[in-house]
Amino acid sequence: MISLLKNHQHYSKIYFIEEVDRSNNKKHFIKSSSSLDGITDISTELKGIIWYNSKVNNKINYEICIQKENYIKVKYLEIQGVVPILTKKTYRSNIRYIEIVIDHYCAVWGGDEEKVKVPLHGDFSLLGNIIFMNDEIPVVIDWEHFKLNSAPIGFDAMYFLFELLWFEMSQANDICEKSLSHLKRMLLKLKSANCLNEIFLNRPLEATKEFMLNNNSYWGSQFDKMPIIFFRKEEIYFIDKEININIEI
Amino acid sequence: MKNNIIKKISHLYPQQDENMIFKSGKEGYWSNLSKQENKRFEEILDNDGAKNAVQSVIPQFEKMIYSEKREAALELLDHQKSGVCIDFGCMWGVLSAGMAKRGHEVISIDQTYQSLQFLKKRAEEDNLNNIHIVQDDIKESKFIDIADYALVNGVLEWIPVLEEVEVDKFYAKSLHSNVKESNTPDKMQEQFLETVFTSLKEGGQMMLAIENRHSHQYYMGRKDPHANLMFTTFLPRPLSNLISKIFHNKPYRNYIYSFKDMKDMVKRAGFKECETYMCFPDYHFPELIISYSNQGLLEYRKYPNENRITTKQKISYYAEYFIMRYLKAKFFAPAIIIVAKK
Repeated sequence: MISLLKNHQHYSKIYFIEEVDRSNNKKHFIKSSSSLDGITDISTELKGIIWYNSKVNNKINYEICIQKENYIKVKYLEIQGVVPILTKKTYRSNIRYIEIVIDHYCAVWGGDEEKVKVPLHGDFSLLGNIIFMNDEIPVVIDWEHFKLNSAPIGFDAMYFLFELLWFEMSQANDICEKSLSHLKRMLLKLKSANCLNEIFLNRPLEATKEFMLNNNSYWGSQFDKMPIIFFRKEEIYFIDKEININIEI
Repeated sequence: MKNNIIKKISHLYPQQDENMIFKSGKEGYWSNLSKQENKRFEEILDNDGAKNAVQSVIPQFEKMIYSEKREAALELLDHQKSGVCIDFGCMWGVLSAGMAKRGHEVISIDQTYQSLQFLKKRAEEDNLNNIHIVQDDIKESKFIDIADYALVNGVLEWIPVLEEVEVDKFYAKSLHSNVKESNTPDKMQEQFLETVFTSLKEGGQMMLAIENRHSHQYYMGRKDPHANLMFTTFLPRPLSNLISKIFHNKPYRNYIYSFKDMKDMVKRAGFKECETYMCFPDYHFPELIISYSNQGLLEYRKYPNENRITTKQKISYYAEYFIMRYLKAKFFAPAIIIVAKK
């Protein structure tokens, strides 16, 4: 049974299809495209998956079905697990997952302290792009913005944390102190694992947003939907100030 | 494969004009543009190329002609092996281009010469040298056992209309027609599907897309997209015919069907295996295509739609969500896609 579940959604130029094999109940997801932008995104994603698979034990299982000048179709085996959902308390209610993901980030991205730039995922988001096998082991998917050695270490983790904070803030119309203090702890954890570039130490949110604005071409037409860029100046100032105090402590 | 296809087409259509369009000698007209608009379009097409002509003369159709989003239904077909595809009633060729990009040799047939001229130009600009263009009446196309794929996208409902169609004028009231249709609309449609069936090789696939006669939208007052009248899609045909004669002075002939009736007709035309899909919000720019089954219905979900602007459209969407999600009434889905095998 085939279902086309997304058609060029969120400014992407990709068809997203679910295929269920009735005989063995195996589920595959297919990404395909016949536009240049979509083909580039899927090809980029493949590069990202190859890099990621080289770093982890739980590899993403994929098969390139068709690859032509004007068309590409890639099939992924379903990763069975939990995908956290968006709630009004997005940061607060996902503390356990956040800690697992930050550990995972350190394990995958860390260990290469000499490099000035590290690979970029570009949409390192808890909301749909990380699946937790057995509710424990994270698998990072959706590598469409992948770029080899092009971000300061810690960027994706910063993006991950601040996106959750933004959702919590925009939906509950409030910044919870508990969320902020936990976020500070996560920054310290990244720092002690040598997974946080110094540009993020004093003004983490401002530096994250600045990196995105200076490199907006990495995200193409999807740049405008990235939550981090919606943080206002006053919010950035307040959050950075709160976090900075703790880092210095 | 290309030379072989060209050879086969030349054999059936020996006449080819200076635009390399194969001609049957039969001409007709079905277009969203008036003949006058098409004349202007043709002039700019010659001088400035396909994309520029669209942008300057018919910018409102740019998305309709060039958007890959419209090709989504092609993903229901298996493109693993390159084959031959016939796009029946290709018009400006959005799906012809889609199949060509997927690596197939495409035979694009339409009766309207200006649309074909555009497609020729577009194919050149996009380096799609695997599109072969034929001007013919699709009801009388001569292809036998040649195609691996056949596309009938938004075409079947127009088969019973024999007069020339300029869409805006066709919607208008009091259109007089001198053309006497020889058969009932459903019979003509079935005969056309038999022609499509004949064109396919054994195991070949047809992709057919059409509105559902019982779409919830029509019960909520949306006008029949072909007759431009309310309720005529689902009322008994004689009643719709009477309404059309009273309000538009012409018979009701753009028959569309329910899921079951459509599948039955496809089977009567000779097709063996039929996979039926529901398409939301329409088949032109589908956001969601799911199997017409109880299991498929479980995949129904909220979807974005940039054309959902007015309050009426929003209410219609919420009604659809309720009907599909809670009443599980798949019968009321807006559009039908059938993938059938010979």
